[in-house]
Amino acid sequence: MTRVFSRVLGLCGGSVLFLASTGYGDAPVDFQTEVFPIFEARCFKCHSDEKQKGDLRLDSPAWILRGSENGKVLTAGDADDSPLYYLTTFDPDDPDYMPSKGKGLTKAEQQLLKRWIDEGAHFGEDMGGGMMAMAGAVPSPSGVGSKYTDDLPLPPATYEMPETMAAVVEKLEAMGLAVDTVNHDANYVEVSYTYAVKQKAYSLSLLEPVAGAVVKLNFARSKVEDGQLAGLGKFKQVSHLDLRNTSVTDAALEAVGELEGLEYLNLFGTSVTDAGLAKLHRLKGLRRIYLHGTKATPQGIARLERAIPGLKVVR
Amino acid sequence: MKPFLTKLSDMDRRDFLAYSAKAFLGVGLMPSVVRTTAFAADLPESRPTAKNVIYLYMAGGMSHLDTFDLKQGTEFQGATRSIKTNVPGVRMSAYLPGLAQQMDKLAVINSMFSNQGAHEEGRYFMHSSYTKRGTIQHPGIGSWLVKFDGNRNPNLPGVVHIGSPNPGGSNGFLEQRYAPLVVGNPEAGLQNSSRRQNMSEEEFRDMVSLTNAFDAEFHGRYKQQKKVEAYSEMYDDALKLMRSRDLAAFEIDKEPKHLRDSYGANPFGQGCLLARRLVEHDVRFVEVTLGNWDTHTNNFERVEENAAVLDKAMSTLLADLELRGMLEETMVVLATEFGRTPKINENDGRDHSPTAFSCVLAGGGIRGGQVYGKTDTSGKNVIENRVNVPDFNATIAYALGLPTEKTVYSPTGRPFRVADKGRPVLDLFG
Repeated sequence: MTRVFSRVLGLCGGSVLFLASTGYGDAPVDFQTEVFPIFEARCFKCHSDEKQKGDLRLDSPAWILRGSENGKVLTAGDADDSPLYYLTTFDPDDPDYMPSKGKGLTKAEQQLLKRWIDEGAHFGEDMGGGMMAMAGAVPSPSGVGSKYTDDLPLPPATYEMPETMAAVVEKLEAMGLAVDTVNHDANYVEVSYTYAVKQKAYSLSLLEPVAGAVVKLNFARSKVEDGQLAGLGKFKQVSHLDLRNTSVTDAALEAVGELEGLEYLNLFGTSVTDAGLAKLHRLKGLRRIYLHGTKATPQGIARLERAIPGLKVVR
Repeated sequence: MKPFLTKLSDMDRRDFLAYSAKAFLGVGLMPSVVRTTAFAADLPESRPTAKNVIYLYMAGGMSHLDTFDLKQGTEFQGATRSIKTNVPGVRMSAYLPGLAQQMDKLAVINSMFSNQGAHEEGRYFMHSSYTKRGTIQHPGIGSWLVKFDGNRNPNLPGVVHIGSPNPGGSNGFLEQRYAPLVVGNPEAGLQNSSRRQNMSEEEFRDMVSLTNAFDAEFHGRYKQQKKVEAYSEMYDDALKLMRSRDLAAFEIDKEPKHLRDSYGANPFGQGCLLARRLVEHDVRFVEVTLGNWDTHTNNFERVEENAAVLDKAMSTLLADLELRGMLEETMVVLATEFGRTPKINENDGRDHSPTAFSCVLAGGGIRGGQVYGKTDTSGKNVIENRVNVPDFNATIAYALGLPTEKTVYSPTGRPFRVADKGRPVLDLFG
C-alpha cells in the first residue's frame, strides 16, 4: 500500500516523492508496481512490442535483461553503471539523453529507478515468475536461432588456384579472357571469352593445360567463330556452354555434340536451325537448352525432346 | 585467377572450417561427369551459381502481411486476399498474380529479422549488414562484389543504382572506383555521356591530354594518396565510358514495344528492363528502387497499387532472364528495410515492424518454389528459421562466390566482412 502510494505521488511531483521515498524507504522498491509503470509511461513508445529502437525492449524482465544493440542496459546493484538509469539523468540536450522523445523522468522517478537497481534490481515474484515465463514464450531475438551460427561451418572453399594452373590463367587473362572459380572451388573454373582482345585468344589449345578444370565455357556476346570450336569434345568436364548472341551456326554444333557431359547449352539469339539440333541428339545428359531467337522449328525441337528425355527447352 | 583474393588472404588466413556434408542437404546437381571424378566427393552439394545481381529495393518497408506472408482468417489481415501459386500448397497475395505464376523460381523468406525500425537506419543495415555509425561508412554488397571479384565489363561501371537519388548502398570505405553509378530516370539513360556535338574526337583528345599534362606533376607528387588517385580514376572511367560501344546497354528504347509494356510503363518497370540490359552487358550489381511502401495510412489501397507495379516488372524480369538463359547466373533479390505491424492503425495503415518481414531470392542457384521460415499467427515475430539481415546478405554473397569469412580492413585499420557476422542460408540453394 505504501509503495503504491509513493508511486502515485511520484508521478505527481518530484519533491513530494523525494520525501515519500526517503520517508518510506525502508521497504525495498517493488518492480511491478513502482518501476514498471515508469517504463510504461516514459519508455514504451520506443521500447516495447510496437517499436524497438536500438534493439531494446523494456516490456518484460527478459527483454530488459537482454539489453540493447549496445549490450547490457542493467547492472544489478550499480545504477551508475546501468544505462537504463544513468541515461535518464543526462542533460536533456545531450544526444544520449533518454527518453529522446516525450517527457523525461522526474527527479523522483530517477531516484526510484536508481534505488531499485542499487537494491539489486529484483523483479519480484509476480514479474520474475509469471512474466519471466511469459517472456520466454515470446520468441526473443536471441531465442529463435537462425540455423547458421559460427558453430555450423560452411562447406570448404578454395579461392586460390593451384600454382600449376595460375601460370596458365595469367596467360589467358592477358588475352582478355576471364577465369573464375566455380562453386567456391578453385579446382573448377569458368572461362569467359566476352572481352577477348584478339582472335588468337579463341584458340582452344590455350586451355589444354587446364582442361581438367574447365567446367563452364562462356562465349556469350563474343566474336567466336564456328571453326574455333572444333576439338571442343576434348573438354570432357564441361557442363555449361554459353553461345548466346554470337555468330555461330549449325556448323559449330558438330563440335558441341561431342561434349558428353553437357547439361546447359545456351544458343539464344544464334542462327542455328533444326539441322544443327539434330547433331545434339546424343547429349543424353543435357538438361536445359535455350533456343529463343534461333531458327529452330517446333518439329526440330520435338525431335530433340524425344531424343533426350528430361530436357527442358526454353524458347 | 583473382589476385585480390591472394592479397586478402595475406591479411586474414583464417581458413574455412571442416565441413559436415550431412549438415547441408541440397539436391545434388553437380555435372554428372564431375561427379564421377576422384575429388567430386569434396564438393558441397549446394550450388551457388550467381555472377550478377539485380536487386529490387522496396523503399519504405514493404508490408509482408499483404504480399508474401498472409494471415488470412485473422483480425490482422484486412482487405488483402491470397491466391494460389504455380507451386502446390504455396499461396501469395492476390496483388501479385504475375509472381504467383513464377513461384517455382522463387525462394520466399518469411523469417527476416532486423533490429532497425527507422527508414534510413533500416535501409543502411539492409544494404551493408552494419548499423549506421557516425564514424565510418560501410560498403554495399555491390561494391564488395566488384572489390573482390573485379569489374567484368572493362567499359561499364560495376555497380549501377536506378531510380533513387538516395542509393542505400555505397562504396563505403572502399575506393571510389567501387562506387555505384546512379541513374535517375531509366528512360533518359546516362546523361552527359557523349562528346559535345561541335567538338571532334581529336579536339576532345587534345583537351584531355592537355588536362593530363597540367595535372602530371601534381599526380606524380601525390600518387600515393588514395583520394587523388581516386579522382583521376574517376576521370579515366568516365572517358572510357564515353567512348564505349557498351553505352548502348543504357538504351532501353532498343527493346521491342511489347516487352517494354510488359515490364510496365513506369520508372520501376523500365528500370528493371534497363537492369536486365546492363546485366546482359556484365554489369555486376544493379539496384532498382520502388518507393512509396511506407503505408502508415491507407495501407491496403497503396499496397495494391505498388504491388501491381512490382508484380508486372519482377515477373516479366524473371521470365525475360529465363528466356535468355540468364537466370542461373543472375540472382534476383527483392528486399526492403522492414515489414509492417499486424495491427491495423486508425488510418487503415500499418506501422513499422522490423521483427519479422519478407524478402525474396530467385536465380543464381536458388532452389525455387520454397517458402523459408515462419512467423507467429499475427506476423509480428519469427518463430522458425530466423534470417538476420547479415545472414540474408551473406546468402547473396555466397551465391556470388564471395568469401563471407574474409576480413577486410578499412583505411583506419578496422576489420570488416562482406556481411559482418552473417552466415549464408545454404538450405535455399540446390
